[in-house]
Amino acid sequence: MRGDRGVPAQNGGPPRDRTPQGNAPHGGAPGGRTAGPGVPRGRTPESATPPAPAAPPPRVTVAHPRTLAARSSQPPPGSRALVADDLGRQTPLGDVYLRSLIRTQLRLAALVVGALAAVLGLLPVLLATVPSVRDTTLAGVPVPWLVIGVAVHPVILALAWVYQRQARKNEAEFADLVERS
Amino acid sequence: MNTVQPAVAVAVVCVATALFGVYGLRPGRATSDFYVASRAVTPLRNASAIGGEYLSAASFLGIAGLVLAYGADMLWYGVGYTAGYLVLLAFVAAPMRRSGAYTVPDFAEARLQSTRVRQLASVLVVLIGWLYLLPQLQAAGLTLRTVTGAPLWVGPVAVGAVVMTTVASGGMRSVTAVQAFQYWLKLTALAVPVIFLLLAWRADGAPWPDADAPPRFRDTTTVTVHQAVDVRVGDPVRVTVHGRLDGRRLDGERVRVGPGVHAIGAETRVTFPAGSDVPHPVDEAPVDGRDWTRPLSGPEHPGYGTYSLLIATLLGTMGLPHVIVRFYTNPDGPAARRTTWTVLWLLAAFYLLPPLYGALGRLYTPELLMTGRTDATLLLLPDRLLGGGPGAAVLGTLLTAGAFAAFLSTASGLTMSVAGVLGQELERRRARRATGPPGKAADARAEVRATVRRLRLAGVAAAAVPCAASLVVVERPVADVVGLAFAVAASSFCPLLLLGIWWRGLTPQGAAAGLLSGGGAALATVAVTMFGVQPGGWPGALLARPAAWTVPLAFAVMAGVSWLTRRSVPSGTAHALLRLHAPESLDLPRRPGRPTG
Repeated sequence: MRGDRGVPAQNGGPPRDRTPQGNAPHGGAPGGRTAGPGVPRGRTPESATPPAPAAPPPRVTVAHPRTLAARSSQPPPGSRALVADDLGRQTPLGDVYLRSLIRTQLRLAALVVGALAAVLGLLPVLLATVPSVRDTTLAGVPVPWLVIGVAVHPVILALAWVYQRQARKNEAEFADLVERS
Repeated sequence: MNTVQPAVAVAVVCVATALFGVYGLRPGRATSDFYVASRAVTPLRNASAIGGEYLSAASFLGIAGLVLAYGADMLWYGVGYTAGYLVLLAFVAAPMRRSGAYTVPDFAEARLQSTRVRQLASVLVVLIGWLYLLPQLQAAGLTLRTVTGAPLWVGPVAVGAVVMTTVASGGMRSVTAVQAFQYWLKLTALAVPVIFLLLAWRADGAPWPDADAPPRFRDTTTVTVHQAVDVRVGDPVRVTVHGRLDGRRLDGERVRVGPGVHAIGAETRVTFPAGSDVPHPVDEAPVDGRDWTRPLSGPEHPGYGTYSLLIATLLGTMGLPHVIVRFYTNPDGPAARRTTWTVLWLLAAFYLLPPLYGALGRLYTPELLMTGRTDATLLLLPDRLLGGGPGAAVLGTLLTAGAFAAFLSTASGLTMSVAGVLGQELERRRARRATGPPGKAADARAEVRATVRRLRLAGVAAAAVPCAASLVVVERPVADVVGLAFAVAASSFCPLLLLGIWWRGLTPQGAAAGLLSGGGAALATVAVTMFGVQPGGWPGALLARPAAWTVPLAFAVMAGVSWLTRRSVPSGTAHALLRLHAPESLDLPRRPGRPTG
């Protein structure tokens, strides 16, 4: 399903340097962002601040942009004011982003619930009309009872798992996209 | 049956719940404490609490009773109750949490900026809540009578009193702790006895209902008929009667009952010999073992019934007032999803068990088909299968305690949410009247105290009305009535939530029209069936299981009227949707709007 949506998937997160005094170590790229080598997704150090040495070089926090965003109550200067601001003020551009997120999430929800509806919609007919299923017993219990009473539940749980994972991913990608553009 | 132990168990569960509620944790002080436990409950505890609240008398007693009576088709109840949470997870859980409102009426107002829709939603919350509370209280009455012989009114009054105490004293914070505990009590209460019952069933030769015969008494069985009933007897049978039969007073005589309809008077004991057919009430045809075992082979349009039931449970879950309010106790949208995912596990584990009791009940407590009180099967099984003795008494006591946990937890959750909505409406009415300048700090504190007092008052009202109604309204199988509550929720709040969360085009007029037509139609069928009108054939099926036609009706009207009035889409729609869908991690510069806390 990845890449099959309005929000483009991104592979590596460039680390964003954040300097309290505003002097970026890489020569001050606009907005304090640098195009460094990609950090593997999801494996960001909690805080990379070394124990304070005697002579203070400018302190740099290296972390995933999302982690930073979650930690900071104030938006970092520059970048995030762009699309996030568009979203917040509902400009036409922000609206396009919002629509794409809603469409992606709705498609996912409809897919999962559609699968559920297909299973639950076909099972009653199947169990009632196919004689080999209807009249078989397994360990003294009729098969339809085992199917409705037991086997449907793992299907529901599996669908829920798929949904949970994918929905979180969609939101994370949306957040990345917004913070980065 | 020993009556002392179950009575003590009931008393312990009731008193413990009440004490927990009143003293267990800090009593709620602010309005937000009262409603939603200050939104600081962990996913597992929250999920246990949701499970505890959701697994009502219908799940604990009702499914087993319906399986006993109607067989395989009733297994779909457990599936529907669980799958409803998947639909909720997919469409509603995270956006609902992000909406930042306390109740469905709050959501309606924030999304549509309309007081009218809000009031309409409030009325529906109260009606659905009461409809759901009613069978809980009646089941409490039935349970107490079955295990202790107490009069029917004792159960509803006991449950009502405990719930009012709990709700009025602490609000949601204490309710959360109590309900998390009660989920595990309910699961244990079903899981432990069933092991012993299945062992006893295997020792008995692992029988299954005879394919070609109607239900039969396995042993010599004495049936106590509390309410007068007309039964149809097939083969002639010799019975011993204490009480009234066909208008004749009998006192322990053996009489031959011929084929045909016979009237059994109230409070009559009839003893049937082993192997005789169970007489059924005149309006219930006996179902033989084959039809009972096979899906879709019941008498009245079983296919329609099954699908309508699935629609009601899948789509109704999201609209239940006590389910929705729980999502505000999650800290954020992803936590709401995690909670729902945990709830699905807890529910799936639980719903494996009731069908086992139903099948065993068909074999060992078939006399309930004659009295119509099939909901009691679970409570009678230990005694019947294990033949008296201290073991059976302990298991029966455990089941009784679990049943009371079910009544109390669901009833307090429902009362809480109904009280919340009633209280808010009262508050708004008062606020509209008093249009003075905003008060100072001291006034504000007094204001909060007054608010909590109003909410407590609303809690008492929320429980007292169904309590009174449960003593008057005709008793029907618990799961049936709860199914109707699901149908009303599915035909009113489900379209409101789905369209409100996912569609920009929803207008206040459309929402109101949809709520009125769908909810109104479903409530009308409920009223008709509750007052005992039961036509046969298609009209009967459409009235008893309305969801299959009321839900599409509600969606069509809501979307259609919204489209016709598309000029009045509220101006804040885009902002409302942004708030529902944007991940919290973005920390967007939001426009000043309704406060989130």
